[in-house]
Amino acid sequence: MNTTVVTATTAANIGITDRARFRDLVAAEWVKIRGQRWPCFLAAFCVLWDAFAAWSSARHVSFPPGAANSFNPLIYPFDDTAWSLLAVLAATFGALSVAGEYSSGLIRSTFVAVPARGRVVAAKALVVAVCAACVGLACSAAALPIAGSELAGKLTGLGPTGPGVPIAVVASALLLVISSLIGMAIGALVRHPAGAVTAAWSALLFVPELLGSGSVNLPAAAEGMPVQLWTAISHTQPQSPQPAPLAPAPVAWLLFAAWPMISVAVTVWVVRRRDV
Amino acid sequence: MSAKTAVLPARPASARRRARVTDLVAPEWLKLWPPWYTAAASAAVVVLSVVIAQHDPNPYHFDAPAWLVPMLAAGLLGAHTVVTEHATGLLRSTLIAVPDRRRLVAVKAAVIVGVTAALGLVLAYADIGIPRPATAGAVTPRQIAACVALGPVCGLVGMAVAALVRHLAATATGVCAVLGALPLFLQPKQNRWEHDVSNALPYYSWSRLASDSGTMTVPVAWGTLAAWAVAAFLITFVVLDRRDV
Amino acid sequence: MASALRVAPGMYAGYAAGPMAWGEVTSAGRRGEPAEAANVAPVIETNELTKRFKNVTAVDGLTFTVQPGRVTGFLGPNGSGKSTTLRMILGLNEPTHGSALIDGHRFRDAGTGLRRVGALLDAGDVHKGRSAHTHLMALARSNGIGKRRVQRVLEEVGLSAVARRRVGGYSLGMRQRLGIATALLGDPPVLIFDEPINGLDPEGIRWARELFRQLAAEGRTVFVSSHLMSEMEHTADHLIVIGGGKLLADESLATFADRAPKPAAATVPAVPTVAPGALEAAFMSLTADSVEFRAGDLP
Repeated sequence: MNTTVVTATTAANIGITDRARFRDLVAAEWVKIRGQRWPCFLAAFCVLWDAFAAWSSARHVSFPPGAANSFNPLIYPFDDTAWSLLAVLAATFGALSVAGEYSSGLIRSTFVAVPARGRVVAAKALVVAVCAACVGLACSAAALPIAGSELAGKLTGLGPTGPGVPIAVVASALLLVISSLIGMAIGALVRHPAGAVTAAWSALLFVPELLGSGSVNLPAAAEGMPVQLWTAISHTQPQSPQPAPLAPAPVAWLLFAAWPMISVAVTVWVVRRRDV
Repeated sequence: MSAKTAVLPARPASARRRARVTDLVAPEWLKLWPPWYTAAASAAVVVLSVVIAQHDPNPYHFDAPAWLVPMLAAGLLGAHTVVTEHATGLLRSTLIAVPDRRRLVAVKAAVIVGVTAALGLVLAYADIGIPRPATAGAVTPRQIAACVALGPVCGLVGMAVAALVRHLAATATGVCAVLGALPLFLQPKQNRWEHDVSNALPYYSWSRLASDSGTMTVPVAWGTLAAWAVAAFLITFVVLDRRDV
Repeated sequence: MASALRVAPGMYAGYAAGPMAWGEVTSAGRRGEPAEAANVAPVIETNELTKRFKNVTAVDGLTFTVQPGRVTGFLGPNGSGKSTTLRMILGLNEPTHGSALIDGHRFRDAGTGLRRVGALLDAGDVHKGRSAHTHLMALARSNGIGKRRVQRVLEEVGLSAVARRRVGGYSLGMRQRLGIATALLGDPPVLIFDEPINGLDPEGIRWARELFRQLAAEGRTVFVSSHLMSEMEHTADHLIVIGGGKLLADESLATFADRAPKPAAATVPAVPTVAPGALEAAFMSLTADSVEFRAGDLP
């Protein structure tokens, strides 16, 4: 049954070389994330966790009279322990968004639908970053008033226009963005969900902990980890007799910008290179 | 017509109804190591732990943060025995081969306990072999016993998490959170209840036994570790026995 | 549900109706234009296509062309390199040597794929936590295809009643239908199916067969890989057979069936149809040397 009289549809579709519109790719990635339930639960948990952490860290604080001014109020809502966990959860989200597609095989359908792999990765990175930034802002929005009310009467300066507060809020949102993009790179390298999650937790939680606790003697590396950079930028280092060394602010901002760029570049390169 | 008539082989007299325990252990041991990254990761953990311990500037044996790596590895190994079977559907084949779920769980737990205890012993001796200043003190048998016990406790906790959460990625998250993140976030503080809660974590109980840090008494520390192990085993046992697969 | 499966005579002719039927499918404002007949040819060509994994040569110097307007069957024993070949055609694997072109271009060089090639590689390539509707919407959105088209395609494959349910709860046949729906989503001129009727019930198999023939009748290129010889007899017009990674045959159905060792007293059929079982016999004799995984003989 050989016929070369093709229908209108077929003819119009032959030889299409459209570039995929970026906003179509972004919309598709958003549909994929929206269609699953766990990202919602993860986001809700993050906000609740940060609220709880702010409340518990600000609760039993007492200052000697007259010395309140030398204490930095930002360390309560932006507690670095609590935000380490948030960074790790953001990295888990990023890692699973890539590793989940590989393990379920959906990546094949995605790349047949859009062979331009780099653009797909870019769209995915954008959606993941925006989600992480929104969660970061929500967490700050929850933590600041709660810490402020617990500290009422002892310390002030946690309102939206307090000293250093806008920078801290922005830096915190950026911390989650960076962590999620690092997670994506890990997910692209380790294409197995459980392995990617473990690698993400190790890279963002356990390795910095090992470096920071002095068990491994590499102070320069310790300063370059995302959470440490965030601490340097938002000036939220807790008082302690031996504060961990932090990078100076301009260097910290530079590294803060370098992490996501390197992560996305690695993700794109790995995804394009490997067979699916 | 010389049709071949099929003749069933006669049932051997020694055919058993119940699987022998030794017959069950071998397949569980074999299933532990593939895929290749399980064995490779375990070897990497041993090497990494030794390297970290060697470069640890703290002058004590069995310094706690460096042992986070073997703890996690043991937990993930334990989780691996349960969760990969769930995720791949292999559990159905296994349960058809061995319908007695209780024995299966007991054997899996036994294999994990054996492997992780051996891992702990190897790491303990590696740590002892590293020269330390005299202030570190002599190594007591109690410390070595604590290291040997740490692996099984973490492995059993990993099994329990995997039995409850049957999904690969969520199990990995859960094991990392329970064994690794909880100790970091619940550090012993001045507050009474936070202090007690954090001491109840296996990380701090073990630290008490292995490096004399903290204020717990030794029997309480041992009791905590034992309680974690028993509770984790019971959870695995009951959940795998009851749930539909 | 049965009525949704039956292919009405004019069901796919609706696609040819011009801009109205195109309403859902837009590509940056492009609408369907009337065809220039006879000089468009959406062919799949491979040229010395080779793929080596370490020391295993999965595909070795494959050269063939798949023409439009007919159903071409892609046959071969297990492990002969069929899936690898299809993956290379779709740009998922990089060939070690040689090339695979669709319409003269490498598939991977273009921006969007759904409107050029519809493919079903593995029915399991879905995320089990999502619903069929969400799965198709995500793919459709990436190519600028709208919601109405997704619903239309779900109706055609008979999944609209269960479209909002988790794919993880689907039976194998339902997942196959979802895969076929994915391939139809962009209304493409080239269609590639890898084992499409695995797990379908007899009604579904008949529906799929009529679907493939209808798609070919509209001038599309239909490339179907399958193991079921009895189905190939009724569906395919042309066969490409590979074994051990090498091309073994590239000929029409009737010519291929003639290879079958004939029984002693063969009657010459009045019409050029294939004798029942001839295709299977021909396939077995041709690929006898290249079967990798042979089940043992029972004692």
